[in-house]
Amino acid sequence: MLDINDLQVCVGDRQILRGLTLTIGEGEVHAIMGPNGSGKSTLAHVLAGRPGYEVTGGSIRFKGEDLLVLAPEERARQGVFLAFQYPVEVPGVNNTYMLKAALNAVRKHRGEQELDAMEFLQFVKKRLEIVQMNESFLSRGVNEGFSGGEKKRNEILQMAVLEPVLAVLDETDSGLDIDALRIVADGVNQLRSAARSFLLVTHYQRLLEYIVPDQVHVLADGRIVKSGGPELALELEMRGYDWLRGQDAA
Amino acid sequence: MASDNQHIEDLVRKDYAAGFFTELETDTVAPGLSEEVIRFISAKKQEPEWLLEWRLAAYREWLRMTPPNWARVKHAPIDFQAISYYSAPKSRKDAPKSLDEVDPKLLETYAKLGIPLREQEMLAGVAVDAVFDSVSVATTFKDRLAKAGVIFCSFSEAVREYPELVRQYLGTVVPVGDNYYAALNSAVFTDGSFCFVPKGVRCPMELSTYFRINAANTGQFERTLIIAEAGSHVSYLEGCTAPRRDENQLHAAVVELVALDDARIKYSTVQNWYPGDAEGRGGIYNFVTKRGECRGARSSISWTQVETGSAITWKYPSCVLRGDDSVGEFYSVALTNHRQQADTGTKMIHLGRNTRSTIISKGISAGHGQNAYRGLVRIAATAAGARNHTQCDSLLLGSRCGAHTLPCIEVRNPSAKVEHEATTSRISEDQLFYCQSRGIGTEDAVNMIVNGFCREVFRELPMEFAVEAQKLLGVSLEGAVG
Amino acid sequence: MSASAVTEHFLAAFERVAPLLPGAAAPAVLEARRVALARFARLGMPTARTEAWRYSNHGNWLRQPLDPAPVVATTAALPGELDPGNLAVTDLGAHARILFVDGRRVDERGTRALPPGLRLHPLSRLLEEDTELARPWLATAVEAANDGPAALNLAFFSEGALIEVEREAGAVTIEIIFLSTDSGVGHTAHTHLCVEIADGAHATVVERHVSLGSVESAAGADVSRQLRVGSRARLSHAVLQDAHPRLYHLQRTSARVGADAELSLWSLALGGNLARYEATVDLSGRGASVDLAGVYALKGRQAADHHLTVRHLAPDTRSQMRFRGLLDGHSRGAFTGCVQVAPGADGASARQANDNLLLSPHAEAVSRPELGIETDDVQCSHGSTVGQQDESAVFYLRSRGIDEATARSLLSSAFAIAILRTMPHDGARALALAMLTLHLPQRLALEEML
Repeated sequence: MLDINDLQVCVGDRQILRGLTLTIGEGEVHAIMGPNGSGKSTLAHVLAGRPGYEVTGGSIRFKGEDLLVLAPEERARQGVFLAFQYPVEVPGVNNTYMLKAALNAVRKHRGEQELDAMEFLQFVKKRLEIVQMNESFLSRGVNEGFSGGEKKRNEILQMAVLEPVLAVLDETDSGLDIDALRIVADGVNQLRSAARSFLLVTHYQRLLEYIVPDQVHVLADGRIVKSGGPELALELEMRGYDWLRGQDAA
Repeated sequence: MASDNQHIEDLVRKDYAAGFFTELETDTVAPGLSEEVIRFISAKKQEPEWLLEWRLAAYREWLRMTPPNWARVKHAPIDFQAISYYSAPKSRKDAPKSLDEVDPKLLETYAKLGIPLREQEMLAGVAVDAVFDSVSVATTFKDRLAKAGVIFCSFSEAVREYPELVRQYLGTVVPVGDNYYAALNSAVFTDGSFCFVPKGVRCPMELSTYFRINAANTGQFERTLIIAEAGSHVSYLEGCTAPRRDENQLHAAVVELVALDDARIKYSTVQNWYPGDAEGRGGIYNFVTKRGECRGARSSISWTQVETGSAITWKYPSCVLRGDDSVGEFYSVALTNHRQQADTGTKMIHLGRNTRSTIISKGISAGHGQNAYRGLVRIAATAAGARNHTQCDSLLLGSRCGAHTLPCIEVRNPSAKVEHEATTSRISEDQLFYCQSRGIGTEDAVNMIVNGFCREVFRELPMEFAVEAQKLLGVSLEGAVG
Repeated sequence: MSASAVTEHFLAAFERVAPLLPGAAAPAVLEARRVALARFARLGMPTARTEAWRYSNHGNWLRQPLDPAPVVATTAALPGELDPGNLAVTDLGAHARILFVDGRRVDERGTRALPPGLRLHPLSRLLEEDTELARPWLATAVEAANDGPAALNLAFFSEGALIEVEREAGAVTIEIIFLSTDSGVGHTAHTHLCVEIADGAHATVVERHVSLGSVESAAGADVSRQLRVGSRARLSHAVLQDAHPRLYHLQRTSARVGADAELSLWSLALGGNLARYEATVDLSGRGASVDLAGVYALKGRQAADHHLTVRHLAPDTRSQMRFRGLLDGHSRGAFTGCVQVAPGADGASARQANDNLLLSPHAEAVSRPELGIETDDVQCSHGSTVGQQDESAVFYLRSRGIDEATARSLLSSAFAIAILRTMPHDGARALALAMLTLHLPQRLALEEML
């Protein structure tokens, strides 16, 4: 479903990714771990198409098609979803309005009927339960004045509404207390399915206790230096990232 | 009206009685301004013809202009014909013979600021016959500067020794007709400082007018020109914390800075001219034009000022950011106590791409003091990616003073980002009480809080200046709380 | 025309029309007009160098001001196609409605009976028949006329209204429609409004300044207002303006707010060639407060220039200014907000905010937030920003499948709506939002956005 091959990415004059290769199959959950500055968030942003990230080499194919030629909104409509590490506050734009506009844009792309206000409300209410949010969230401005935990839950709500094919979670666990982390992880687990793949970007192993991945990759200096099963995360937790310094890609 | 007419008649009579100008004693012209006076000044200084013409052009502009009336300052009209525009270095015989003859109030202030006796004498204008320490110090400095290739001398010397450099840059940042007082200065300036830092040179020390304090009296119309060639750095300190005795009420200086590619100029001022007495009698009118031009790419000009003196301050150290990626900064503390008035601020004119500017202004008003911040941030259509951040805070001590904030922002480029924030408040009772409950007296507590309020500016000053500036605020605020 | 020629021109024009102006036979009225004219003769028209008019120097207005509209029968019949019912996009539920077409008052059919305690006087009738009631208003207007255009309004106004609201009227809403049509071209229509809210009374005045049909040549509309808000009274006044693009639209408001009274002043400026909005508010009673807010959304070669002054004259007074500009095309939006705290006005608090989004490489934003504080027991702050849309927000919306144009439009409207949604009157708010929606390039479903 996702094939990243020898990806090279620059931000400004700085090269961040230096030949990253990664394949994620349908329904798989992969975790990318790595120290600060290793390029984890860059990978997440490049997948979503954030302006300012220049791909200088390599390729990303999504469902067999070239992902890099698509605008961010086209990627979203094809089913790529990024849960932001720092969800952006959009004051004055109502949460419901944005969710509905986003869902209808995706549905239209899929050739499905757009939902009217009533239908949408029915639809979204069920999704609210997944992240244990109440309806008052819907009438607030997008992330406006939300706490850190509320913002992250709102990201998962959006994911639940848009039903992506590939969900990229960028440090979704950062800044969450244990209760919020559990809610977010439960939400993600409910959304796991054979047709949906996940890429979890995280600094700590903690999240992976709740969302058990199929594969774990360690990113350092813009490359994947080690891959393995869930046990790799535990090992990393015990031995620290220094353990992998100087090792070549496994 | 009647008195105005009377005044004019008096003037006319004076002219008839004394002719256009008269040479008194040896080297002082009678009060009054005319082309002849300007020719006299220029001749006395043995200036080249072009400079005389330049002065005369300024004078003709000045004649067509009217004094600015937009500033929030009040004063009686200045009689420009009552000023003497040239006097040779003051004869020693009028000066106080020793510190015993100096106003005890002044001495008290010196003591509070911890100024050494020798310097006190110098500042108070005591006639000191012995060769003063600073002369030899200055000579040592001159050697070091010369080795680095830096030219630092009086303006008159520069006109004699480096006329082409002066001609190339003089008036290119502040044109002769820029404003009323700049035009006047251009016509009649007598001396000042000149500094030229050649390509790639980092000036090996902080430059200061302090070094040549024993040189000839630069008078009330001072002219400063600083040129930093490509890749050079210079830091210039003007003034000092101690109040200097001065008999001229009007001071109208012009300072021009030019920074070429990658050059950096840092210009720090501590201004503590005589502010007048508590009732507002006397005191200096400080009407100054200061402007720097970042002519080259990636150049930067930084103004830092601590203004506590003068009866009236009227100055707006500004930056024209012409070079791409150039940077302008303005850090200011202005304090007005008693009847002092200050109308000060800056202009940041963004012309080049990705130019950046920062303005931090702290105004403190006490007694009947009136303090105005006046600023302009202009982003031209050419200044893509320009950035400005302005923080402008006023602190009021007492209910009879005033604080005025008058910024103007003009943006003509959609990729620019400009932010302006301002606050006006008094020292909070909570802060005072907290300090007092820790055993700190009211006056000390106010000093602490005021110094804290100004810290963002003080930290831009060279270290020894910053310490003095803090003491100075304390001295200037005396009697403001009670 | 030179400045002196402009002055001469208006002096001559006055001699021509003075006998036709309402109240021409009343010495007190004529005297007030003559004083105003003398004031104008002394002050003249502003020029490009007049500081307060620098950013109103737009088009030909300063050099070639338009003649005052000819004085005709003060009450014109309402043409069928101008039925106010046709104008009402949104029913404000007003207790009274006044309609001016090119400065002339039009009698409406089917106006509801006014509730007790609400009185409306056409100004033309007042000047003719009840000079005593008009006189104090004229006196304060003369006093307040501190520039040429203000003096001209007073010399030439031929119509307007005096609105009086007593406490017994309850919370009343008055709607005033100013309609510009093709028949107003070539002239400036001068009108004058006086509003008195008695102690403890509560009113909302909504002015809609709109155009009918397409207008091809320059025209002017000039409105002066005096608002008096008594102790503990509340007045909410909104100007919703979407006039035709050839209109020079000038407004000036002077307001006095009594003890513990609340005034809110709103300006939505969408149309016109030049839209100038001046307001001077005196907080003269202890505990008085004012909230000034507005949005200017401009495109093409439009200019808007807001000049707001609040004078804190009494203790414990509060003021707030919140203005936002959306500037597209070659437009220019200028904001000058001045807060003055007089000696003795202890406990004053003032907040000022002006934020602008530049949406085009040719647009210009000017912001001058001024504070003048003469006492120390105050809490005042202001903030000003000029910038562009938050690119991370644009990306965030796009990453959810919303296309870029919609995302940008959404963010622009959200920027303006953040101000408009706080309008206190439901009907006025809905109307303002509807007008903004029609004005924006992408018409979004704003009701859902809110």
